Amino acid sequence: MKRDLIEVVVNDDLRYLPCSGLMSLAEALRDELHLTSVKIGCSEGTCGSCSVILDGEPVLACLTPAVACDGRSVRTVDGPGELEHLQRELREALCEADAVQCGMCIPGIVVLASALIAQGEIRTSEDIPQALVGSICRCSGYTRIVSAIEQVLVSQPSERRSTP
Amino acid sequence: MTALGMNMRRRDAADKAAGRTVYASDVIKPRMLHGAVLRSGVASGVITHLDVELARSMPGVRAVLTAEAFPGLYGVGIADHPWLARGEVRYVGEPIVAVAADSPLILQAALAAIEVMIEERTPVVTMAEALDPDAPILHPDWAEYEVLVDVDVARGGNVAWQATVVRGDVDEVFARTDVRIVESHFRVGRQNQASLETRACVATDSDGRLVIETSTQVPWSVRNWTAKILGVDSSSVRVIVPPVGGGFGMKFEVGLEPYAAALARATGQPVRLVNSRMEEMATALCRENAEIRLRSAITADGRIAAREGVVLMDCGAYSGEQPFLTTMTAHTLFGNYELGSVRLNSQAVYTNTAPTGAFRACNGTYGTFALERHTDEICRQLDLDPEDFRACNVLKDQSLGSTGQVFSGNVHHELLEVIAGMRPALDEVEVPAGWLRGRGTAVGTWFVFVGPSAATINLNADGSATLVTAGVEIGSGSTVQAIPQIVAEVLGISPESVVVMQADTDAAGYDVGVGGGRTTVSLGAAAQEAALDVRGKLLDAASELMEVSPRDLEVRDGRVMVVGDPSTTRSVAEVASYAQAQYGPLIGNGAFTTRGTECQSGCAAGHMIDALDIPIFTVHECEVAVDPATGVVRVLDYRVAQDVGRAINPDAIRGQIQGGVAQGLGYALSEEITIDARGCIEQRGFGDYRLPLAGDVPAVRSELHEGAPSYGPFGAKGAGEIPILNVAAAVGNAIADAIGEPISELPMTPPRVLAAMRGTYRQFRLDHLNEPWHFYVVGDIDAQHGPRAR
Ligand code: FES
Ligand code: FES
Repeated sequence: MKRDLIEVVVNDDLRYLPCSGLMSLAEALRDELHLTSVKIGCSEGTCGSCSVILDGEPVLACLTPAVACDGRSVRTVDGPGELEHLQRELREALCEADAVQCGMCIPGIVVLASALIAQGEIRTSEDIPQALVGSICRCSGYTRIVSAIEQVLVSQPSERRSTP
Repeated sequence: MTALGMNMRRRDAADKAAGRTVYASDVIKPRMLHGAVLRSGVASGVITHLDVELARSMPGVRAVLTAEAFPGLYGVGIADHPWLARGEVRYVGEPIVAVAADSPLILQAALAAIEVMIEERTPVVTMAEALDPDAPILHPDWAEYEVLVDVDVARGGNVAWQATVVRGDVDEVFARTDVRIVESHFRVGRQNQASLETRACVATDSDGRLVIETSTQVPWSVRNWTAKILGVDSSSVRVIVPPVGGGFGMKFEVGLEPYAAALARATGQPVRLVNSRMEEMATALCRENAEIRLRSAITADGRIAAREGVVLMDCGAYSGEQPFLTTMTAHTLFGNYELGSVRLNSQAVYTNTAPTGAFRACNGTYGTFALERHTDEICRQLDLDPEDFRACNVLKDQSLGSTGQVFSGNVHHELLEVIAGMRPALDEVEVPAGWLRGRGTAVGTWFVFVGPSAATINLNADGSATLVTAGVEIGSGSTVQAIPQIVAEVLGISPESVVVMQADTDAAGYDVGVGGGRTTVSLGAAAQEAALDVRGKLLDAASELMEVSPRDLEVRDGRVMVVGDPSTTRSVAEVASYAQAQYGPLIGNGAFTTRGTECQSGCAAGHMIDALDIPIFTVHECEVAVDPATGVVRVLDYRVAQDVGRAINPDAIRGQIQGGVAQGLGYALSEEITIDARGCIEQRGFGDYRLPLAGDVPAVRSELHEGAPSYGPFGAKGAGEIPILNVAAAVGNAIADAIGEPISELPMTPPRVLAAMRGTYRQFRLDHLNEPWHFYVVGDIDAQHGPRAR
């Protein structure tokens, strides 16, 4: 089987990843780099647990072919970068809200919510359920996750929020 | 300061949120191979040709195993389940061959290279087909199978198990002229647990033993059953459980572990198996589909003089948990209310479909749906007030349950009052213009599946405590909240200084598993006893050190002190170090099991438990809006009044209530599984199996009701399982109220709600459930219940 080497900047480090034709970014990160913070709930793009940031945009790593990431930059929930602070705030708020149960969905939600807040896609509390439409949590019933995100949202500098 | 009632946060949350937690599906080991099984594409047939040689010869393929490698038969009530198909297949997705290879790609190639030919037979897909006198028998050797429990059971043909309840003379009551009879039929679909982490495990052959790291709720069952299936000594299997990414009952049975263990043994390398989502959709041990007939005789003063029921539960191709679950209909469908005469037949029925199993509150969910819909139907047809009817008939102190168990406390009554107080005023709930508004109330009774647990506590010289149990953290938080809080309360130390070790069958004694609402109760009680044991030793040492009688000592806030003289104290750490130096480390042990609850003899037959140990009560109520044009249902307000015995960590319980109600809303409204004529489950993933999303679930308001009797630690009851119990019932009653017509099927999808609006369910009948009660009985009912059965 032919395996190509691709160059990806993962969490600010340049990494070389062997990847064969069909391998997804999620598999490459998990199996080759052991970045198991990228969770796999479905491998079909329907649960959101594998969300990562690719060149600044949130993507589903299970649907992203690894070969398509050659020369690009990937950030996971463990990574540094401009969203690091926001992600830490989100994680702390989720813990404080006792929102984390089995925890499988949480890293993906932290990545997605941080990106959407930073991009201004989540501006008010009403935007949150819609923003989470691709994120499945089977344990919590969502309300604590939503209120944790809400809490981080209101603590953001006002240019990220719509004025009430 | 007391550790009880404290809303302690979870120590595992930060790592989980940061993606640092390693689940079984994340475990990577040196030299690890990837394993998988080849699954049947047909529901019923004879394997006429199986050739694995090509696959075996492929470079990078390390082992290919067939049925001979798995000699034991598995089961919960009946050993009827070969772990790889032997000569025939009985459901779509049934494993036929197990393979291990160097990489996932080679693995897929190897699976594709296996030659298998199956001569297809017409599958038995529905229970009506299975019970047809001319139906093919799925297990022609059924009579040879070992019955694994000490229960005298009637079974035969496609009826895997029958559980009956007979009390008093039902025929006589139904023949009376002073009663009115109401009959209802119900049909409910399957529900997939859909834990975000699929079943996953890694096995290693190490020092002649099989070490399995797995995503399970039942480490000890996995240990014992893996051994039995592989035909090795159970002491040669060790099971370790990392944090589990959700279970909800699906992981209450052995799963992929025997394949991983056999492949590890065959190759001498670690082998990991992880089910894909598609495999989980096809083979998860779903909550079973079921069909119910219910008939009640109501007196002029609104009492239930007799109740009769037939329940068919689809166990799929192998019986699994269903023989046990046939027991539970007596306590749910025939629970909640005081009944005169009783007659109930619950059967687990074999079909050529994927085996079903346990899912949070199991058949209690649809038993409660059917019972509470039936209750509202009684009131509608006989023009009674449902609130009065419930208040008058619910179980009270000294009431008899259907199997003759005596209940204590007036908990239902108290909960009905609590829920009435939570009811919003009409204008507090906003209904979309043009939509129909409805309110539904549902009463529910559930239990704690108590059973044996063991615990050991090391009280360390630094004053911290380590608790060793086979308790698993499946997400509910019990092992990081309630249980450390229980231990801390007894030892007088802070709950943060109590650590619960991850489950390892080499370290911790036997445990039934995490599920059935038993964690806080059974593991908690064993932990409490271990804590009391070690506390006694601590006080003995302190008495020596402080020259005070141990009777005059207490432990609080991490210090041993003289009662009434808080100035004379030593820290727990000081005393523990002293004891360690003088006598060796401080260790306490605890063991716990059910006390058993009496029922009337002769009432129940084929039951694995005859009465509810530690019953739990709950009342749910909700307001819904129904769009009359589309049948879409929106839940506007949802309220829960739950008997918790004692709330050890109230926030954790509320988290379970919110999550359980969300799963219940999925069950009630959107999660639909359909099986085609070839026996194939049609939903392949989250794209076509519609789980509740953030926008679907309202914030549930809950009241935790304390003080009802329980022999759990500090009076606690299980709180994690029951929140799903009443949801379909409450929502169903609210929909019926909104549209003014009964609804009798789950899930209540928009097309079904529209059908109900057209009055379909007023005459909804399941043809195969129209015969007299005796028609359904397998075996000699009089012999099973004694002469009173007639
Ligand atoms: S694993 Fe990628 S969306 Fe589910
Ligand atoms: S916490 Fe388990 S899936 Fe969200």
